[in-house]
Amino acid sequence: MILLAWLACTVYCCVYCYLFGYIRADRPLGAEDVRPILGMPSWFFWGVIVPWIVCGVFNVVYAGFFMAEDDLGIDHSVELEQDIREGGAE
Amino acid sequence: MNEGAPGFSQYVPLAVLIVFTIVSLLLGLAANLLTSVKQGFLQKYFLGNRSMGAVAAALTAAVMSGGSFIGFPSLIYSFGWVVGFWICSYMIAPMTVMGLMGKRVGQLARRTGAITLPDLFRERYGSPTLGLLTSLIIILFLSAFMVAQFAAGATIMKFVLPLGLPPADAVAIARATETGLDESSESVAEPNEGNSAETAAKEARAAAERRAYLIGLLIFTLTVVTYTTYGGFLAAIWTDVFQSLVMVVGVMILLPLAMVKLGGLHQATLAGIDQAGPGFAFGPGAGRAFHPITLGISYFVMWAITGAGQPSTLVRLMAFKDSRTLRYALIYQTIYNVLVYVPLVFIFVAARSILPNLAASDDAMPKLVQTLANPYVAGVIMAAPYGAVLSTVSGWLLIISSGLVRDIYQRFLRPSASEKEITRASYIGTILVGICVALVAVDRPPYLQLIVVFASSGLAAAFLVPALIGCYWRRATAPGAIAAMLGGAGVTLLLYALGQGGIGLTDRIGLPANPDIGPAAGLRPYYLFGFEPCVWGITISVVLGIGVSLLTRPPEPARVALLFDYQGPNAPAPATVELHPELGRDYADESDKPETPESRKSGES
Repeated sequence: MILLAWLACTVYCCVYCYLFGYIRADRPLGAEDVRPILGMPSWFFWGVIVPWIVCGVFNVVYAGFFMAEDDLGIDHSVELEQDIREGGAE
Repeated sequence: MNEGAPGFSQYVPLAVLIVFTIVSLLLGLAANLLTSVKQGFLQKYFLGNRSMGAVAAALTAAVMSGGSFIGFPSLIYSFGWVVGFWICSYMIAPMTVMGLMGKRVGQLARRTGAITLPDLFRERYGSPTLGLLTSLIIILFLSAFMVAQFAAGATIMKFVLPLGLPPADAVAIARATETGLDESSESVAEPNEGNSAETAAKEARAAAERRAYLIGLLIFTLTVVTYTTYGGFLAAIWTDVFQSLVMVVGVMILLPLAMVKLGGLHQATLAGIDQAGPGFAFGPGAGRAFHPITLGISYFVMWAITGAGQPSTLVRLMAFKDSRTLRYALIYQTIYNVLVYVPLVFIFVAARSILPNLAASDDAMPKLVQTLANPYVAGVIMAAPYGAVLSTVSGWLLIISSGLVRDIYQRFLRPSASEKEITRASYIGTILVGICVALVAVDRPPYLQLIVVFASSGLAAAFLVPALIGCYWRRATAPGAIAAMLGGAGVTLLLYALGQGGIGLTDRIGLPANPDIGPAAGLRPYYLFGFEPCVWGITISVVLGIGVSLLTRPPEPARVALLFDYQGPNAPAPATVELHPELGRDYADESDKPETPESRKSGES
């Protein structure tokens, strides 16, 4: 699930930004192509800010409501320490 | 820093650094006094009783180091909006860095009793060789990294100490933090054939600079070694939290100041296009192909995935309190990233129109702070990089010394050492590591920020895959993990060697020329097909980890069952089964049984 979310972010952001925000040989861009949304270039708004917000909401909802509580188990540090001593004594 | 009161305000940075130092020492003291030994001294000293709370886990897992608070704004100023795309995988980084392995690493560390990362790998795979290899790789990469950080700390100190040098200049401090160099020493190094009086003056100045640097190094080392040695893990964590909070406060102060001064982001974008061309508003960046799409993809791997493989992250995942803590930490970090990185992009796009055409983009941050804020606020904001250096160093100091004490001294040299002896060894180990690094840092290394990128790529390429397959794949074997570790670290080193070897070397092997992308100079790697070395390191590591695991004998069923299936409160640690194989028999059989709901739950992501 987490890896899928990462993949979705990567694919969406990279594809969107490349298509709309990159100057390429066949696609020169200039000041008139900025098309500001709240002062940001439109590719930045749709390619970075919007996914960032969506992803932020996803992180909060997923971590807040869907991530299972797990018992992490009992700490065996002391036992391991004894084992190291015992192993060394042999 | 402020024209109105130069005599007084030049001491503001010094005052702020003194406050930082005192707070750090107090936090170290508190960390020592407020915690008790519950599960043995080492566990308390190096992991803080596995009691780390959500705020601490969230803020310390942020990948900010001293240089990035200067370096990142500088990149935005130079290359424009595309740098926002460069950093934007931070949107998912909290999820991948903490969510992907967090619970499993916490669980494995408890079930094995592991305190250090080499401990964890050694116990997970049942291989002393793997443990030793982990220690060696950590010491190799982190030491290089630490020397650079010590040098940066010393250089900042040098600038603010009243030693008869020119008054502290925030710009010089910032540039020194970023590169580990300062202009004055560079200019001194150039031969001067002219006026001999001038040469003599320069020599005298160089000697004074050198003395000030050494005094700075001494003070920095004393501070960081004292509070780290005394307070252990919690001291490192608490100073980290303190410094992260200073940083977010700084950004929150700067944002409205910059926006009010500017009167609109669009204005700034147009000003940027005027000064630097259309690349300022679009990819791949103004002036040079800073961030082609291949690097865009690479940095989604870089920040979001390699962040999960850093030893400092993994150690923190071993130390958090419970899974609830982890969930809250994830939420807090998501919010923190939005509050710090998005405003930074806005602020430094705005900097283009507030401070047009700066000669050195590294000055963007300190100059903007000077322009916008009063000297006290500016002092606090400029102290943030110093705080970042302090807290980074203290965390790594402990990782190295824990490796030395636990994995080399206790495991190999004196397994029968008593608790008291181990306590003494830990203190002495931490002090010794600090002193050794300081001694190496006497000769100041260049390119701090690039050393940071190099070392993090190498560490992640080495540890990410062994940790990941160790967490989720029962069939992963020790030889597989060793191959993944060596392969990942090896490929990263190789690509950096090729990048440094110049065009001639890659030509001779028949590889295409290194594409002219990314940073313009310094410790540049070879970008094979335009991708960052971390992408190749991790790819090779995955292939080797899985391939070699499948080719080698499956791991012992008892160990896997103990670590992957829920076994009840009385189950032994794998190390105990190693000593008393008869204890493992019951568990070995259980792995053939169908999975219980608990085991299934613990096995999924």
